[in-house]
Amino acid sequence: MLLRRCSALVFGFAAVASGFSPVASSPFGAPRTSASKTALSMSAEVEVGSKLPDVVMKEGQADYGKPADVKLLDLVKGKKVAIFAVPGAFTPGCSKSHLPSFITAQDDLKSKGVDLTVCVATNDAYVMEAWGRTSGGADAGIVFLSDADASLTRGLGLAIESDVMVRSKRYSLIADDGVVTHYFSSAKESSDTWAPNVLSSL
Amino acid sequence: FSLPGAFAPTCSSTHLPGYEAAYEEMKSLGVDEVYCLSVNDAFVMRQWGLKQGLTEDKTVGANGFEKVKLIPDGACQFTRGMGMSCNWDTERGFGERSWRYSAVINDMKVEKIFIEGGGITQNSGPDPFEVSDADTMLEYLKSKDD
Repeated sequence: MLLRRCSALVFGFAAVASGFSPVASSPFGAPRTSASKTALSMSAEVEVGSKLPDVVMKEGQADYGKPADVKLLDLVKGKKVAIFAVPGAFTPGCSKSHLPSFITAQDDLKSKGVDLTVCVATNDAYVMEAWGRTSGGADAGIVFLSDADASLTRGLGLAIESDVMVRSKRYSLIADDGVVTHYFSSAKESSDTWAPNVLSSL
Repeated sequence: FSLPGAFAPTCSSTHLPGYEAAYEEMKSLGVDEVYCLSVNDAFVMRQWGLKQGLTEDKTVGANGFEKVKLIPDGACQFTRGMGMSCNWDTERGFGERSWRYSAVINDMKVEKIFIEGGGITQNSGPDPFEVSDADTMLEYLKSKDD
């Protein structure tokens, strides 16, 4: 399920790689070769016991305010947090299943000591703020963070590289004071990353 | 007209609304269609249109909305082809995006193009919005109409 959706998102790569030579305007120069792609996504996949990477993410503000920098480790310091990531804000699976499951589960998560739920995607902060606001997620207390430079996603070894836009694989995890205590991959089933499965292991 | 990002401030508060309001007038001046492009995926683009209050057109084969048509240039192909690709990494957390511009395309040729700042600035601090707006476009269309 995940792979099919991702191939749709990266469909443009082959066409562009045939060398558009986009004047002097492309900041990326030549499309990424597979060698450099491998180098970028070299971080091993996160596992229980991993420390969360020390990254700065962005949080969109109401009324088009300038997005704020959020140092992830400061946000999660001393807390038990749930972090779940989606390939795309506003996309079907993310919007119909993954996010709603965490909205519904807020009370249950809190009763299990999970102080905070964070939703991550590599969309920009404006898009993330709009999604949080319009989906009911922000009202439910979920913090929506933009990982636009993919530093968290790559740091966790969960990036889907693409010439146009890096995306995050779908996952969920629980971290206690910045250390991963539970990790749920979508490699077998997307639903393994949804809130009910996360709750059942807490 | 092309802009840096769906849901972004200037794009949402002024650029798109201006063209949406001017749509009928532009059509009366001989424009067949008005397209808004951005380097976003189709899901984000459609939601942006809905949240902006554009009226949906669900007819099969229609381009999604009744007036200004939103085109997601998700793989940046059109934008690169136009030489309008830029990035806004540190300033806004944007990856590769379109620089802000507007253009009149006549039978697949660029008849007129309005590029903000006269050209692209990579990772630009300011986000200029002076020449690609709907009013400037209307003035141009009217001057051609004579």
